[in-house]
Amino acid sequence: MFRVIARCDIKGKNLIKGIRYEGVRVIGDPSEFAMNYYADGADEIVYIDAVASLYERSSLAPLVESSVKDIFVPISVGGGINDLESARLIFKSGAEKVIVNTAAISNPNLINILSQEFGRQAVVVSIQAKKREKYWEALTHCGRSVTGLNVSEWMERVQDLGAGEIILTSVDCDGTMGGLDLELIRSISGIVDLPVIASGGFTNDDPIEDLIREGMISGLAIGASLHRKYINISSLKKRLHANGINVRI
Amino acid sequence: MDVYVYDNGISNLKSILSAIEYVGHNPLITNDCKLNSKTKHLILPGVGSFNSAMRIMQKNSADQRIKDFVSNGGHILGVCLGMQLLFEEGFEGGKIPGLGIIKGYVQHLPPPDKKNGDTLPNMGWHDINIIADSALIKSTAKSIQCYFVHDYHCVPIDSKIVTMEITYGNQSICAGVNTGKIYGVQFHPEKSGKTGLEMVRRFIHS
Repeated sequence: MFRVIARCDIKGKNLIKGIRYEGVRVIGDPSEFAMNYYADGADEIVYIDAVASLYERSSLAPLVESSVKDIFVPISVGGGINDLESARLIFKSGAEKVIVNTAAISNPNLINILSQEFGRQAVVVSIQAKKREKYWEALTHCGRSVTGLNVSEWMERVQDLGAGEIILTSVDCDGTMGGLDLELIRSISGIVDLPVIASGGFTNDDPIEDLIREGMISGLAIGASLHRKYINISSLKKRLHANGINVRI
Repeated sequence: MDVYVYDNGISNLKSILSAIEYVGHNPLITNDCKLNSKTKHLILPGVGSFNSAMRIMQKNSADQRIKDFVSNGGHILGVCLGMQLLFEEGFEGGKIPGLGIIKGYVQHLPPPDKKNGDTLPNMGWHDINIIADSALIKSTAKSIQCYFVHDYHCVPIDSKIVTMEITYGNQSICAGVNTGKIYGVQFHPEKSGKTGLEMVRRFIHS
């Protein structure tokens, strides 16, 4: 079943959004936005602490704890999760899955450790892909740090290490509302059997039905286009349903 | 209305407690199932393994008190592992006796049909096939979807008690049972949006 996921990037107490991970602006209260997305039919809520990896800690446990009082769909949480203890805190606060990026690239075995402890289905790896001349590079620290790591090699490694799912974000498209990076998705997502969630730049004009039918993507994580109200989840799901895609209505 | 929720100390109860409050009722947490006789509804949630969950229940005799509650006419809803524990035996972590409230056993899921998007563990949203009416949902309901997280599934001896199924690994898998005042759902109603909340509400009103 194809998932439409609302993605909320958070700094401090605020929902924020940048363009290509730069020029971050405050949008509002994350729990209020998340609640509206839940009410409009989001299949999952993603909270990412956008600055946590810089400080090596997540501050989202209290937000998750209050969100589960009103949001009755799964919540996934990322940013600053770098060991068993920080993951346990997030699960304890009521999240279904943890999302790792920076800490997993500096210590790939973290993926294995987390999936052994919590089950692979509960471990999501976020990949921030930046287009280079001959390949896509996986960035860390919310698009700030280069790694030289080739996204397609990293995807395979992540799968072998025991991840359950991948959120693939195009750094070049993120926040632009100028369309998904279809080239990235087409050339990369077939590399792994894991569910791939596409993220970064989605607009209503994107021909995602084909990608879904071809099994390229299992879900879509949308941030800016939702926050700016260019898209609402219920009408997007109606469109997908009308086009023969299996979605939760 | 007061609704008991069994707490084995390893499950995360926040969502199920919130769901009960959301539909206008009052959850009471119990870890030993010493229940007052005024309260007629007990929810048995559960994450973890069949084996460890049974051991925790046996330690403080919660298992016997749950059986007494049911034989005295209490309404029980088992959720996910909580549904599985209602059965006679499970095979997660060896062959383990369950509560034995429902005749049948709990076995590992069949191999996933990857082309159909199945994953193992089965984690995600599924279309529910409503097989029979129950207080939780009528078979005339429009198509519904619920959220699952599990590796094992229930196999009731009496197939007439199956109320809901999903398709997994090209097979029909039991996703809900009801017999008398005993209910079980393999999915997480507390994570299944409005559909799930409505089932929690209907259970409490059953």
